[in-house]
Amino acid sequence: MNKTVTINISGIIFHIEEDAYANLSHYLSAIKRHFADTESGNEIMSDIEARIAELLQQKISVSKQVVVADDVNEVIAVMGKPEDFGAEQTQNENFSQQEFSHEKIKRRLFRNPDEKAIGGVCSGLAAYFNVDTVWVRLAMFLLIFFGGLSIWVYIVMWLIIPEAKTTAEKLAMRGETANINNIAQSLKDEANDLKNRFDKNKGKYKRQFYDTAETVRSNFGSALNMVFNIIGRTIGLIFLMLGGLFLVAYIAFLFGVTIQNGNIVNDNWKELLFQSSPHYALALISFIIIFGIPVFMLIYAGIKLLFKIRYSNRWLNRSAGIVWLCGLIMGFAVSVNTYLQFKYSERVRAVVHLPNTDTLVVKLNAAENIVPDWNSNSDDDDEKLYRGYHFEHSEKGYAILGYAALEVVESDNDSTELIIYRSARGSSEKEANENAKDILYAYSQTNNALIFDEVFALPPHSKFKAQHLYAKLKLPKGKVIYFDKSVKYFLDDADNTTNTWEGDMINRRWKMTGNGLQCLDCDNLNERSEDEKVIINSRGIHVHDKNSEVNIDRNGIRVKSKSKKKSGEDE
Amino acid sequence: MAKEDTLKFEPAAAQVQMRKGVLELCILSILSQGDAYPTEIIEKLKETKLVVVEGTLYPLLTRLKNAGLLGYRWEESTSGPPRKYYKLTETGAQYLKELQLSWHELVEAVNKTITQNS
Repeated sequence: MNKTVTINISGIIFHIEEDAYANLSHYLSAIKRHFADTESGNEIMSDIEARIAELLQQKISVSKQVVVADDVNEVIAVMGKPEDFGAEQTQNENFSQQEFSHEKIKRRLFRNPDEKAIGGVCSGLAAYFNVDTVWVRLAMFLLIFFGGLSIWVYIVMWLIIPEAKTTAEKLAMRGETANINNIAQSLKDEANDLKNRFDKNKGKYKRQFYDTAETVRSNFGSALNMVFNIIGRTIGLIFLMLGGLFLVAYIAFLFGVTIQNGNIVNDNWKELLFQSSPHYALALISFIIIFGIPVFMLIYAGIKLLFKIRYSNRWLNRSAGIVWLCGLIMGFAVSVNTYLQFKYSERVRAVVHLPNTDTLVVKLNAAENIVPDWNSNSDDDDEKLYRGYHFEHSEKGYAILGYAALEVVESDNDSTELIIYRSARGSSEKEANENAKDILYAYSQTNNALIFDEVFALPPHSKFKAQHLYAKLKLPKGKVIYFDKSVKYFLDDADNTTNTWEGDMINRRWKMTGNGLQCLDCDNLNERSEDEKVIINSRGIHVHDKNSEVNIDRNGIRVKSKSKKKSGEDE
Repeated sequence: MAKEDTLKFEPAAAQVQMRKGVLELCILSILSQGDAYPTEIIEKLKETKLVVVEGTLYPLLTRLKNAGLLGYRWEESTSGPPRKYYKLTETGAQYLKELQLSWHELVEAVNKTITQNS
């Protein structure tokens, strides 16, 4: 029992055994490749298919309904191998440089199986560009140190460049003379010559006109062909260059992720962000696939267009598509999983009543004092403004550190209150709550000074869960507060009568009134005029009116409304 | 005959090439006796042992057609795919006439040379 395949040749249906089918389709694609460069290649192809259909039809009858391997072999024997069809037929005989086109057969890019170290790519390229193989190999070797570029390019070329199998292909690889055509060619030349002499003698103008028209037509055709050729190759080159560029960027990114990255001290930061190592591995693999395959395919398409490779690897196209889809699904799964880890948000509140003192001085305990090996980059104002998270390495393990923030508001009673909000996310309300409670934060009070830590910390081996720490200081009416210069970036929100920027409120005493803080020693502070609605300067953009204000600066976008105290932050 | 040094001097190869060279002339001659589709042309050529493999014929027919020497029409077949019936055009007929004339001259000259020198 043999499995059969149903095929359609020239509109006729055949049942054909599997091995016979493989043989036939290989044969047909060989013919197709042979005529690929010919102007009417498709027409010749369909004529040949029609003949094959006719021949196969003679092989089947009511008692023998299936085409078997022998039938195909017989058909191939009758039709002949593509190499026997004769390459001289595919040349355009009206081409102006006749001698040239007769001598040279079109050079095509193949892998050279006779001179190969790995896949014969280098020697094939060398034959195509007519240089010594050694130079191509040397270039390939040197390009390995360029982010392993040539390794990728080599793999792509190995996959898409066909191997020179037949003698004709090997000749085409070097673009050498196909000797066997010469006799036929000279016979034809002789006939043409005779014909021309005949024409001249008889002086047939009509004939000459026909010749001229034909020459113009075919020259125009080949010019058009050349234009398409150039456009195709240019696009191919652009694809290849773009692909190469993306590849370098992509490899650089991968190296950046897996080895070292400026602020992030150790690659173990991934442990802080991802649930587990497999989780991280999945995320990385899906990234590699989602971005790597398009880059790969771009290079693939570029090489195909540039070297006019017509043969299409369907297996490669399909599997690339499937793998890419898998990567997409994987990436989606990881994203959903990560999202679920952050689904719930909880906030924990701790209230402390502070003793009444004359003037409350607010200071900051700098991060450098809290974390011994605090990254020296933190001296930079930019970073304090950006207020991102820090991933610090200590003997205990890896810790996450984040900047705390302070808000000063009017108290609804006579006492001074400090409220510390700890917030975090988690996969459930309970977990989010626990994550929030885990936040380590300290402040101290000595005499009339209130000293806050600049950063909060998380216990070793905690995961990043969008932890935030927010301190709210509630002052009763009439209370005086002094902001030390260290709180410049710590003070996030303090409504005041003069609408002064929080960063400018340092080094001054402020008194709480019904309308917010009022400055007590602001002689030279340029108050912002109420007429000025929009201010754009190096700090950012500030828009305000009587009841609300919008700030766009390094901290993000903040909208404040006086009627209803509300602050939203948009990263 | 500029590439004589690269020619293969083998009788079998030479025969194949000779056949190919005159194939054009034969196809035109066959079609001058009436329209035919490739299979018929092949059968006639096979009688004269001019065609070694059938595949040779199709590119040649297409080329002759593209050059305006042949025309064609489709005809339904009861037993297989539609058939492409080729037909000699006026230019084709003229071309054939000229080609036949020069062929006869060539044969005569070649025969003369061979018999004189053998």
